[in-house]
Amino acid sequence: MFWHFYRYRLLTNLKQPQLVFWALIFPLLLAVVFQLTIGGIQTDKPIHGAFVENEAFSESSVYRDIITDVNAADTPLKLKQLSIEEARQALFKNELDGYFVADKGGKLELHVVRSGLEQNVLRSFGTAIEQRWAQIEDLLTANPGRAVQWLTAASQDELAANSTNGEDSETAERVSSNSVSVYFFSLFGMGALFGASFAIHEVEALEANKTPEGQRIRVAPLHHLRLIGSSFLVVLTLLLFCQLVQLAFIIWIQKLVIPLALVPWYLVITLAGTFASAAIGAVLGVFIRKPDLAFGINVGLSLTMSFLAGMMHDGIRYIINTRLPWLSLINPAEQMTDALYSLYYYEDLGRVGRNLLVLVAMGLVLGSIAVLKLRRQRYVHL
Amino acid sequence: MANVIEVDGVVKRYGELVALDQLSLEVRAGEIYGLLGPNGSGKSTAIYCMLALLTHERGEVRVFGQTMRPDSYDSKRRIGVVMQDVAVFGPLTVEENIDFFCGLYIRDRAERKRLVADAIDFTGLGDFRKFLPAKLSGGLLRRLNIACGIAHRPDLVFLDEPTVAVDPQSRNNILEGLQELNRQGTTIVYTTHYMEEVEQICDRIGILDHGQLIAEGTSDELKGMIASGDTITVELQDPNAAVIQALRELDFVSQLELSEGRIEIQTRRGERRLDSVLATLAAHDTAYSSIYAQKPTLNTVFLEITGRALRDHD
Repeated sequence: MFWHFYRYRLLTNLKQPQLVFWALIFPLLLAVVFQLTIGGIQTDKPIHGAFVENEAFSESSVYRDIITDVNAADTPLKLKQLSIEEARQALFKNELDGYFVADKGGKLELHVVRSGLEQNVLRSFGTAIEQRWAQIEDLLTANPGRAVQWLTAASQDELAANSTNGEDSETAERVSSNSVSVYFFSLFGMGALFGASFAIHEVEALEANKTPEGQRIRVAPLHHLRLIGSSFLVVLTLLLFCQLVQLAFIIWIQKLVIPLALVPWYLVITLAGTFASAAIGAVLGVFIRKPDLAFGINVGLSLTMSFLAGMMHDGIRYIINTRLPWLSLINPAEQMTDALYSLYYYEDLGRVGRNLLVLVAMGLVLGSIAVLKLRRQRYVHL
Repeated sequence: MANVIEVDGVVKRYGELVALDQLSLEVRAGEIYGLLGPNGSGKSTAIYCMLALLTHERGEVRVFGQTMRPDSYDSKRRIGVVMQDVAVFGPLTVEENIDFFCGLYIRDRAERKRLVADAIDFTGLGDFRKFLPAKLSGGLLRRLNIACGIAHRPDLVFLDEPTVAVDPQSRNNILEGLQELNRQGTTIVYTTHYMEEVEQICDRIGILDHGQLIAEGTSDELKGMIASGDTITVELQDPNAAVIQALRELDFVSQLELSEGRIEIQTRRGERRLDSVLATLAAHDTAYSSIYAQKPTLNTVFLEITGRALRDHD
């Protein structure tokens, strides 16, 4: 009965063009659009930044090493060290795009006089230094090339999203892959969230107070938990399928280079993301009486959460991460994006682990709520 | 005959509204039991309570001798349900829909294949097995709805207004099919607000109004419960006050209504005095284009018991 139900529900969902479109086709279309628009713009203009020579700068050799190694690498980012007066003058004469003032805690304050791509790149670069201060200190000694790769990853990503020089750097081959950016990773989150519509559709089919089909299923001699389990597996299968197609598309069509050893991690991230999304869809389906309204809310939520995860502008992601970190925490699109981004650029499994934990916890909590409601056996009214 | 369903004092409320008010009824094995009542009388609610799909405040429902609960899987396995709304999946073909719902009851694939083929034959959907529901006419869609409910060969079938919005030809096909199903041994509970349907196919009829079973019995028994006799209808060419008054004064006439040259004479129970009506018309030298007598219908029964016609609520 479990597999009979699974087979037909899978077939029914696959034959729903609007569901497949939102969960699979739409993210792929957006990926193509991103590549055609964002990925095609050329820029060779260097970005000039500086570190101010203050007490914190003098006490640590890390900043000097960073300047040396970044300048030696083939990136548009060009750094120098200046006194505070020199930096100010250079900034106002437009000889600098921005300068950093360090403090002893490893924090960097970015000073700019305008906003734009160059400033975004410097901001991302500064954030990368702050976030990885301890690791960079060690790595600059052991593997300077790798440290530069880390540091320039964020700024290159900003560039890749807005402009590219079209050439791969030796030290950061993956980083400078033109088609890759947070924009593309956020599409996975969006696809998963759109795919939550599969869960809404399943709840619709299972609930006697939503559809006559649900009534017919509920009066059949079926154990409800098994029924719910089969249905949940249908949603996971469909979502995972859509995510894998998306991953394959980005690898083979958009030439994302993923080391073989990291592939299982990508699968685990997509699995956790689909789990959380399925649970979100189930909760929407269970608590919103009208399925059309639930679908509408899901589309709105998906777009909003993807936007906050940096799908349309990475700056939003930065703002949310720094000013409303709790919003990032409860945003599954951001958790997926961040996990994929961290894995791709930094191979930071600790951060990926945290993202996975949040996604799984989200899935467990919301999934349990949905199951508790779904497993009711009788209705007060239909 | 053993009872397949026993409903005992079931009370179901929707807030302040009492949907079922101490409903008690029994359905015997092998019969077609018709639950007749206007829209909103509680027919569907009664079925949902019998199926343990709806909660109810008081009373008990026993099906096949067992108290009916949501986990009464043994009983549920022997039950088929045809809902009022067509309950099929749009993306699946006719055959896939029947196979899907049949598969919720029958594990064995070979047996299921045979049952699905039988159900398709039984409902005359052979030429449409690969069609999607959206491509079917209203009548065919209703037949598919029925096929999905009976494919697993249940011993007891609930049909909740299965002929709503169906053309007369398809309706007759459906009713004949149900009678055939009953002849094969299936007990049927059939709800409708069409009195002609229950008269045509039901062995016993329960009349439901405001959640109460106000009368129960065979069609003849129900008609025998009321004081009304035949209804005599006369189409007059030139109605005049004198003949109307004379007809009204006949001792067996309980009620007379005149409308655009048409007179409806309601006689008292047991009276069938067409000859007296004809004699009165002749005595007043009144010409008529047609005259006929009708036995009381279930609508007459409902009208007499409740003061409203069955379709007042439509």
